[in-house]
Amino acid sequence: MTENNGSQQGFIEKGILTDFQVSEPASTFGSIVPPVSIASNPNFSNLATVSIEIDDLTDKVWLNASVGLVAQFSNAHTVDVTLQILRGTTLIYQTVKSLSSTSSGTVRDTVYLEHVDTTPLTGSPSAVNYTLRAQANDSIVTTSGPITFTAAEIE
Amino acid sequence: MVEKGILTGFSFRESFITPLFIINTPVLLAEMNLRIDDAEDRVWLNGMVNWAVVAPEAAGTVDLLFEILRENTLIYSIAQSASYYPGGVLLLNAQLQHVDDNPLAGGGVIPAPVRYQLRVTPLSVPSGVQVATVSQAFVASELKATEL
Amino acid sequence: MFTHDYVRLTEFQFSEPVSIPVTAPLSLLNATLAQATIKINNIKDRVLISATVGWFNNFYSPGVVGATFTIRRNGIPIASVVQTVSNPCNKANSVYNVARILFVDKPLAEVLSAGSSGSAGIQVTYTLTSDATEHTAFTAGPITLTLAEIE
Repeated sequence: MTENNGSQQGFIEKGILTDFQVSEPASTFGSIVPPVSIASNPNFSNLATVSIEIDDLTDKVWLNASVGLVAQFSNAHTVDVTLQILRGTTLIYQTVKSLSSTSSGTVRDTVYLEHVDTTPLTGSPSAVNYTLRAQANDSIVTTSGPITFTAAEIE
Repeated sequence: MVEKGILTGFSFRESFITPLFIINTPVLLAEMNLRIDDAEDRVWLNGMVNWAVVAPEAAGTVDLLFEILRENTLIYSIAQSASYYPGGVLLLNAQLQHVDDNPLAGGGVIPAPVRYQLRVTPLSVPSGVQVATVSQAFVASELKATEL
Repeated sequence: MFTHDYVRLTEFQFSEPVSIPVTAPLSLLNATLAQATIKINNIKDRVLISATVGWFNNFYSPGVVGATFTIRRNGIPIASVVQTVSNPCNKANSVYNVARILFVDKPLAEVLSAGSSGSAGIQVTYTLTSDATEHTAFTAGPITLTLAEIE
């Protein structure tokens, strides 16, 4: 659609962010009381689940997740936290974040995940469920918040 | 089905040229207004703060709290630590993401400008260590309400 | 008083070369990690850029290693993040970090040469590159670069 009335109007494009869902179980540091422990291999701790209705096979879902983590060290060491995003039961994204300390004590850190799911639907329109979960290679990691998991439908 | 775009407002502040020292009081990094015209609108807030630590002659840990405020109310915070050896230089990247689903909590006449602030508050800065922010970006997107 | 421009997200481009870590990591030294192109046709267009990279350093002793991640517009650097990882242990250790760049670009004023605007628009290419202080710094992914055009 174009307009030509002698002004700067021009071509008007359509907005393509057509749906947005969020799971934000905690929005401030320290708000999860008591803090949630992050499981060790082979278990994972589910942090958030977001559900979004998708109606078109060509739709994409832009996923963004941010988590605050805490590690309680008894000496100079590092601990690795593996974070995953699943669509249903399918792993679609994975990242690793280390927390590091030069001595005994508490260390806090942030981690960010970003993924574009280009195949959210396999068949007819439905709700698509995404899960954010984490696993640590030492049982010294917890989260007391924040946890924010968003899903934006892009046409 | 033709769906409507739900992003209807956008505002941002970013700076890569104004480092600020963090000592013992909160420091405001960025501030902006977003015009909200519906009580059911949501605001998707995203932030990035890059910061640096120059250690003194002893090991230790710096803890910072990165915060988002809406009209003086704390609505989001995330903490990040830097654990350093003597003489170490550490560079960190903190990421923030929040969805404000009550932007007009203050009430008032719509449409209303809602002020969002990005702030950093020191939780623990041992003596002798230099802590500075290097750069930051702060983005707010107004999203219309949608059904689940 | 303020005016309300009609704002919308009109185009979305992205490059996600790795979403689940690969077994053959890529060195971060002078590397191009991702690239995406978006069409700009209005002087007021803004591009919301987000880049998220998981990376690590293979340490063989205690120390600190740094990596830089840069967003370039048609090759010109416009935003950068520098990030370190620390190994406090007196042993070999891989230490992981995640860098996330968030930046809003207003490209048209920079890219336009005289009189070449119009509804056809021009293509602007954004690239995510990296560098590091040591050859032991790698990425096995994930690597995600997203561009959202906000009009």
